[in-house]
Amino acid sequence: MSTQWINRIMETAALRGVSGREHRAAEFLCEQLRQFAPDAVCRDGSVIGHIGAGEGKPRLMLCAHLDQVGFFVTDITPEGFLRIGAVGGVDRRLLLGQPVAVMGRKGELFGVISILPPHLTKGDQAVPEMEQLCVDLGFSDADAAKAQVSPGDAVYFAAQPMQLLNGRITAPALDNRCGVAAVMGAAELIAALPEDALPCAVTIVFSAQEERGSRGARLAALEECPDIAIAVDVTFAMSYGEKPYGCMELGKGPAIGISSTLDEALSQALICTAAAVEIPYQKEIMPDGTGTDADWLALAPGGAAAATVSVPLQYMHTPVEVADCGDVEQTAALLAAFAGRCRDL
Amino acid sequence: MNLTELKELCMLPGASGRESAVRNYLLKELEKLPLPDCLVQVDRLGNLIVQKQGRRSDVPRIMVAAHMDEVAMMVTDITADGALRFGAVGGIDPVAMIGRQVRVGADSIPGVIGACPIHRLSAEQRKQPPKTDGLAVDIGAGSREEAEKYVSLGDVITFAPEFHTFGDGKIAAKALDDRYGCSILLSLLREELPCDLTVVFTVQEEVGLRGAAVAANAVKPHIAVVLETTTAADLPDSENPVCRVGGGAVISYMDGRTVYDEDLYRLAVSLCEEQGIPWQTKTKIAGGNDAGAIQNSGARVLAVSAPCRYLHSPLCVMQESDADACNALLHALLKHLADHGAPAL
Repeated sequence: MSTQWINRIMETAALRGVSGREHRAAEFLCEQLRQFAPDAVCRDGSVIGHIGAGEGKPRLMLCAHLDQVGFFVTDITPEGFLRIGAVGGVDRRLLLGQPVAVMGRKGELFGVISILPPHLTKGDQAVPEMEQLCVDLGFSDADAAKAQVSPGDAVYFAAQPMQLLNGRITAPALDNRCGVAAVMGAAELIAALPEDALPCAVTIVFSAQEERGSRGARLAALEECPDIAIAVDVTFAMSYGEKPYGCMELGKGPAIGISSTLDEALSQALICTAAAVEIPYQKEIMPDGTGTDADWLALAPGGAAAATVSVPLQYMHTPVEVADCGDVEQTAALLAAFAGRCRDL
Repeated sequence: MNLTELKELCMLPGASGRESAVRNYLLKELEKLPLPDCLVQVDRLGNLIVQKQGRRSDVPRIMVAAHMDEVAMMVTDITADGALRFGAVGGIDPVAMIGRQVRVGADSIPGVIGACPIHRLSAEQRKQPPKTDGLAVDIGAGSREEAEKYVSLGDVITFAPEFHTFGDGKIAAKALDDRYGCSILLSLLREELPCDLTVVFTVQEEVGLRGAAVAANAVKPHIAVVLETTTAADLPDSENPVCRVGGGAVISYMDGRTVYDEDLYRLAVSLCEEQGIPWQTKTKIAGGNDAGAIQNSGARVLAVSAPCRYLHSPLCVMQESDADACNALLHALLKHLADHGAPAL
């Protein structure tokens, strides 16, 4: 597992881009994508670029959402604390006492979500509602806080990306920066193919607002009219306390989705590709829809054959998400291998 | 307050019963000092006891104490999948454990305490506060065999070390309870003192005031001052703030373990009033510290505490000026005791 991949993923995970406020992350990724798709642009928080000429070739879209779950400041209390609201599905069981970063007027501010100590609660704390939380910025009155922070400012988990054993890493926002890193890696591999070795016209999308209803993916599908669309997201990996089934495993490669809302032949084609180029893979069965951008990409004009290829992830939507960098690398390889073989289905 | 030194102390691992890293740091600093008038001892529990001569010896025997240990966790089981189950060392609410980065064992192996993703929990389960039983540390090992190459049963797990200055002169850090006290006493030992003094850096405070009990019986002080952090609940929705961060040194008349010596209490208050040292007292009888054990050796006891939010969580928050106030009060007390002896009973 190369240090380069680990660093790339950690750097991507550190970008700030809560749903609806993706522009910083989008600009950074757009710049990076231009190395492989020179026409890449930012649009409405999404990034879109193209590799390979379009005429007569099937249009393949690789789409990874670049937004992350987080919070917005909703109010400033008279004491100078912040009230916050969640963006996307945040796990309220673990918010108390967490360090956060507030994107204020003059830059990032450090804060802590307040928690009562066991001396006073007698260990009896119920899971708080968002309205019961407050963020301590270390100010003593509202004026000091208002000088730097306003309602509508974005708030992120402040936990720093960190390496664990076995090429695994932990960071907030591995959902979906693992997917983004995989698609960026695939773009690099695809761009390196000679023109005549690429049977399709590839659109790379880093989509906005997946966590809030896939607005970015829906717009990209309308504009780009893909024939084949693969959503590259993260999916649940087995961990301590999980039910012993219905979950992927870290280190066993990308998860290829099979679902009522996905194209059956496309799922099969991805499986065949993985087998042919000896990339380890797992099958992820989602009977009732995928809950990813794929469900919306399939509704492109005229319909699109949609699939999911997902990076297994533990502890999703917490500050301590864990992924295997080898799985990310394998995901990129699978996407590039498929692009190299892609014909009309 | 020497912030550089405070940071170094806070960043060290020092669970109850495993204080050697903190003790060795203090010993190393003490060795640097030209202290021919100092006797440094470590007793069999690990208490670091320093007897230092001052300008006057004809004073009651005075002891000042701060504890070296912090709350932490300990590995109780390694599952077949390489997850580390654990129990708490000292009082930690599982709400403060879930979703955090940690370090395991003497080699500080990085790990996380994860949580099952909310997507895979029922609505009922999402409302359940976490229990220590249901949590485990993930170091990225894939199996028990692999985990055992890096960690063992009985290894200590500490919160990942962090130290931030933020807001209007506040500090957020691991183990401010009670490394701030240790930092103040270390600085004190570098000064010329008005009278003979015994400084004790105690062990195992968090698991029952155990080091203090042994040290006090050995030192047999007439008067003992405990330098601690105490719980501030000065949050927006709080019914009873107990004491306020930024409100000055907390002088206690009573807590859950101790009724403090009335004359020492009044002396401390009057010294603050005379010398303009900001001070406050607690509006709730709660908490406890080493004084609870020291008083049973016969000593008259006083606690001088820095108000601290979020005790027994990965990040405590205090105000630097409160630490300075505690330091000023400590100096004022020593000077007064040197000049006037013990206050009349």
